[in-house]
Amino acid sequence: MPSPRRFLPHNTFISMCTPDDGWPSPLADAGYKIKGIETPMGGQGGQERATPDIIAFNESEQSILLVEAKSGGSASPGQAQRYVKLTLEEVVRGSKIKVREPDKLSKEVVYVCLRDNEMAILTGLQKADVDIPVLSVTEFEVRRVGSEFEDRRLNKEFKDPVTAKRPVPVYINLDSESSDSEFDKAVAGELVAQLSGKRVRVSVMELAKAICGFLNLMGDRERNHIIRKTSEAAERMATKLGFRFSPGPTRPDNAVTFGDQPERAHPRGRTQKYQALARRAAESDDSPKIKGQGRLKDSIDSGHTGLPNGE
Amino acid sequence: MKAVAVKERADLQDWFEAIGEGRGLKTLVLEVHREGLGAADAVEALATLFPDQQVHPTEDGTLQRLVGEEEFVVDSLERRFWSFHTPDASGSARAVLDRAVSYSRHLDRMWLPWEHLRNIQPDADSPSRASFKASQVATGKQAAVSFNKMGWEEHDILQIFYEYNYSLAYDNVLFEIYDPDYGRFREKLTGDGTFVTIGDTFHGHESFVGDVVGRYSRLIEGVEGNAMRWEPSGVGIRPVGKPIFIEFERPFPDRGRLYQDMFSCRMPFRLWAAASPDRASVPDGEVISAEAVDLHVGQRLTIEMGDDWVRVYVREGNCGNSVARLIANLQRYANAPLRLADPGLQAALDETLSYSAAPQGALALA
Repeated sequence: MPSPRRFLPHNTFISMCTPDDGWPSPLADAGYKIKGIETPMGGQGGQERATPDIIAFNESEQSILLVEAKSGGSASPGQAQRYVKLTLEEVVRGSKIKVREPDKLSKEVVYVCLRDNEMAILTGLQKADVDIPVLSVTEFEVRRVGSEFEDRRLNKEFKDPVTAKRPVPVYINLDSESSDSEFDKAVAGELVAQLSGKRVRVSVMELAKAICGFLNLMGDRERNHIIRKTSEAAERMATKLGFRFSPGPTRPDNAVTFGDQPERAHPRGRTQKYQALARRAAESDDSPKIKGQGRLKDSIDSGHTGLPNGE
Repeated sequence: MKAVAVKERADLQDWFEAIGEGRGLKTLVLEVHREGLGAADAVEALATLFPDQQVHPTEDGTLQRLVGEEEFVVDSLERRFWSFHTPDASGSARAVLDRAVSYSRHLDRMWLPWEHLRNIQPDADSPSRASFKASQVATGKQAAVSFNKMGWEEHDILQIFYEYNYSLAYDNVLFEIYDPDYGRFREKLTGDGTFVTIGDTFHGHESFVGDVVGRYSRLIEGVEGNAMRWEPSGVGIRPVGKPIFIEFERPFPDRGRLYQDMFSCRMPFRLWAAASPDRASVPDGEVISAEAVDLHVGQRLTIEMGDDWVRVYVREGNCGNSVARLIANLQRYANAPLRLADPGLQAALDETLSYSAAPQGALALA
């Protein structure tokens, strides 16, 4: 499961805040932990809100990192300026960070981008007249470009490029903008898991919850997007694997019914049935299509959940 | 064998003595997931899990007799790991339990990593014994190796096997132990959690099994503690947990074949993944990744594998035993001493059980 390219900046940053996952953890070493993903803040007085992709917090130093993770090649000047202009009060109210020493509290903004887009991002920030550090990432390396950090510990951690022998672990792999093949892969695995658990039938809602661990924590529109894509994948995979897809009164009630139950067979026959499913699943294994960057809690959905199919 | 009815825990000592040293007591430990079984108690759970056997409750709610082809006294005091005690031949007893495990996702064996066999009674100058199965990965040549005493010389011999690219796995270990309270006893332990014992008291055996199971529990609960999940955070969300990262001392010898074995849906791995036809060989440096399913428990498990490392993504609700099974089988395949990146898990892997050695000749080694 290599990180989807558009989530590489997110996954790299999260991994750098997480020790012992097989990737270097310079941010964790400097005391930072992930505090939140996609947390809206600011927007007082009718101004547009800022929604950092990631918030990291060093509790002992009371320092906050607001992270914009960019898989695309453009840095909107307005967005960058909104981050910089956020007041500490707005950040605390949005993030619900526990402030122990108000006088010590500080925040800084950092962009994380793909190495291919490094120059474009730096140029965009320059146009916005925003002077902030940028972490430029590949699957195996991170280097700081742009300004230095205000937190000196971080300048020390990123003095030289941070390199790894293994690819970045994947913390985020799926959202509503993931490709059909990414959904297909996850849904196929979950269908086989349910089948091996001797389930006779599984609903689209159950599948969506299983493949997207944060489904219940999302806004309605993003959740509906994921349910819709899960339902479409379930229909494709049911056809591919020889199960039956049946529509329900609402999209979450759509379901896949398993006919043949491998677990009821003799162990040898059981193995052969699973092997056949593995071969069929592999036939649908297309290369993932990379789409544009999407926010986990993006809210541009037409909203189908709860409505009858087709509406 | 004198008939002794087990009605309560206090009877186990008499029952143990009646078995006699000639036969020895066998204890097979199974992991039992009662969730989803719909069983009110251990009696109902056993009746569901062993439909071909008869379940006889005792006066103790944590002890039952399971009677069929073989007879067991089942101790369910530990909620997750139940001990199936029997005086019957271990092969036939194992067959009864293996059949039940094969058909139920609520049951699993223990999958002891080799550190958990090795790290018992270290440095004791006692007649401990260890047996290994060795197979040369490239040629498939196999050998059985057994030592009556594990000392530096024996470890040197094992090193030669290792250098000639043999995979070496502990098959079983045997110790003679002395405990001032429980007396002398001999324990033979295999990697799937089968114990064979003779000795002065049942309590000594019970205590030894409890120690081995407790250490194993800490390992798999540690794995489950790292399970990846999402939590609300303010008005946003945040990821909790991390993948389990395992680094092996030497590269896997043939990852193409290993991939096929791992995801063949067969024992011992029992993993499913969408098959890729081009997996006959895997070039060095290439990372294999699989959206796998642990068919034994019916749970999705994402696995990445490099030349000498494996990363396992355990999700909330996944069973830690899936990772223990993967580790134990990879060790058997590759003979690779390993390191878990998480220090807590590594500590659970390295934990040593210390016992005093029984005096020489106190119990004759069979």
